[in-house]
Amino acid sequence: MTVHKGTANQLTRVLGAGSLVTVALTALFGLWLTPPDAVQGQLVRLIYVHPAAATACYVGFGLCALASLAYLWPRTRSRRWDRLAAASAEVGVVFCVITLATGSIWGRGSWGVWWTWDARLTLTALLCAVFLGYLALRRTGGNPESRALTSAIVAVVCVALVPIDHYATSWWTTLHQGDTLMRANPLIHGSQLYTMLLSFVAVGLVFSWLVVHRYRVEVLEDRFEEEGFAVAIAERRAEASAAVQDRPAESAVVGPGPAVAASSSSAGSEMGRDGEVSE
Amino acid sequence: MSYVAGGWAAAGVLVAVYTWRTLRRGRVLVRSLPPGEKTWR
Repeated sequence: MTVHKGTANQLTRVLGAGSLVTVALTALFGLWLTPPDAVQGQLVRLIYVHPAAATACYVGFGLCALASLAYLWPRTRSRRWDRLAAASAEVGVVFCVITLATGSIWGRGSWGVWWTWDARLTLTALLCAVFLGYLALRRTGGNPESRALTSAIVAVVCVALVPIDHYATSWWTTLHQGDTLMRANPLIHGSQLYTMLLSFVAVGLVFSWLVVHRYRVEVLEDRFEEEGFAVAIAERRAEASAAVQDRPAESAVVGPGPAVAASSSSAGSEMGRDGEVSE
Repeated sequence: MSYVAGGWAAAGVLVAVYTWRTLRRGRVLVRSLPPGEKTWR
């Protein structure tokens, strides 16, 4: 059987190496080789982080909802989909936090405020809060199957916020700018455009790498959750039976009459406690 | 330029911390498995 030291294998090594190379190239081009913007000046260099992180956040939540749908569909129901939903939601939340942090810093530089109750900003914060709640729901105890079912329903409902957040700049008048790339006449050209596209590739690779690792952690956590309880009960039973075997010998020194009563009493109490654990 | 550095640093730190936490969690869980079953599969 294959022995692993962690959650890495050939796939994650390739993804990790690709992530490092593309992130390094994005940083090189984004921070030094591309020119500053005519309007935003040096602040435009945040465009090589912020939109890519926001896209990864949307992809994470979208993937979570798709995996949840696959789990809800009786023909495709499998714990694998539930694990993928958990992994992609968690990585999506990380990128959502990055989006909020970089957006806030960019807002302070260009608008003069760290935060404003703009539709896009508010909806992104709400999206982050909702999926943090989803992750909290997944941490609740109980039957794994019913928890997976509840989580899947919540994910499918909550993902409706993603398109609302994305189109917020089109549907309402917002301080946040509209699309830079997804329009007939993109607002960015030349080396800035290529670096921005490279940032999407880099963040996409980092996202994939993290989701694969997180999925494997989820497999291990599931295994410990399911097997751990059975192992704990088996160990407790072994301890109890060892104690039952030891007690008569220890008690024999005290005297035959009371010793028998004491040993049977303590054995009974051990078995009773064991019985409680088993229940 | 300090806002740019701050934004890039914030993103880098968040990804680095989450990566460290995830990889460490995976290593700890694999190490806790019984001998002969040390795999995430």
